[in-house]
Amino acid sequence: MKEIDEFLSKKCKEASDELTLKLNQAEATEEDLDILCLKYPDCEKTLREIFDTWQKLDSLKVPEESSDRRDRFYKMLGDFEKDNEKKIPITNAKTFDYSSLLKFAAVLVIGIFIGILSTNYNQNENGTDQNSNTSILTSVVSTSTTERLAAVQSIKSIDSPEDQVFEALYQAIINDPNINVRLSSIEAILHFADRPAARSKLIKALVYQDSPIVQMTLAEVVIRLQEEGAIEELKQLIKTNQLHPEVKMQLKETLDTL
Amino acid sequence: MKKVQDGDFSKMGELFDRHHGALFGYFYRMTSNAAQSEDLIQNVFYRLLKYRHTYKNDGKFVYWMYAIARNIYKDQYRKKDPMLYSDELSELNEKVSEDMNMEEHMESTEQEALLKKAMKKIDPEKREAIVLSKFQGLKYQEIAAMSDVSENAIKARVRRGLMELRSIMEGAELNE
Repeated sequence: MKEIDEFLSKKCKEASDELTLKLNQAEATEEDLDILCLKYPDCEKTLREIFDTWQKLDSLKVPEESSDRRDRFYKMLGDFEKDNEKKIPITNAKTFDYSSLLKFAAVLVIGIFIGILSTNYNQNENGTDQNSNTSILTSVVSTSTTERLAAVQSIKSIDSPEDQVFEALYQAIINDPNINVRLSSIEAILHFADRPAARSKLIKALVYQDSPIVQMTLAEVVIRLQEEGAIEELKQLIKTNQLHPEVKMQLKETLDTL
Repeated sequence: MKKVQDGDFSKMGELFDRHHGALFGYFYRMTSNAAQSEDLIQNVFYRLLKYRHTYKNDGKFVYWMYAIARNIYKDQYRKKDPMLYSDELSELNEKVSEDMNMEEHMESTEQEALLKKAMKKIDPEKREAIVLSKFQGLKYQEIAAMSDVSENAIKARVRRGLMELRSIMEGAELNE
């Protein structure tokens, strides 16, 4: 397709660009235009037309926005928040009512483990990997969900984590008030599933879960691991009446496969 | 935006108050339709919320916002986005917009009407380069970065866009 400036000389294209660049920087005045026209006399017509058209654009008015724009925005925001809540369900009223308490408990429990961990590290000369363990675990106790999630994710980057790291993740699985942190912690432990300490924590966590999503995830993990050591825990769990029917069914199937 | 990323969605209200005017100007000049522009703004804020985790605090928020606004405008005109947020007011507003457009048209000056007509006729990429550089306060370099093209390409779009506007307006005047 032919462009409108196809027959414009290279010099006039340069002159036009120089003008629009000045206009874009809000510096170009009639004087600037006159100077450019003197500099590029062959392009005067084009330059004046471009300048004039740019100025005329100011007459393009924008109407008033409707008075209900804010109401519509807050309706959309409300819809979004509802959708968001559906995606991250709070599993029962008890958890919801006592979320602050749970958060505090999680911070306290994991804090104790960090204390133990720090003491051990002070006694140990080999620093690099352990320092990263400590710094990551410090973030696991952060009050910000985003930071705790990031910390749990970064545990996967440790080459050879101490057993205390699994203990901290286990505490996060059973205590953290945020379901995403709990699910990420499961994923993080699963990353080290070749370590017996990691596997035992996953199985142990099964008994303490009241969230169907976390229960299902843990059950799937146990199936994937084909962990025979989980039989007793699974039997114990099925006997309780706290299980979601689907989870119960899945756990029975898991037991049959083990 | 950092607070929104951390889950405090109420802060989105502040961003809306700060930026909806500029976004309305952008969409209105691109579409010449006030009601549709308001719908598109809703979609910008919906996507800002939905993709909040993708925002990196190393850049200016407005660039990210305009990048999303540009995509929404493109999607709208390609009719490829079934995910656009809509509420029951949208349909009503579409009807109202026809009346509004007629009213606006009657009130506008002859030159403005001519310009509006010409703006609709030029290529959307050229129109966008003019709108972003003239009205939204973005520099060529910034528009180029957002559009993933060179600064020279943006200069050419503005130059050609302005020349086309001129040509269309002159042609319309001659026909009258």
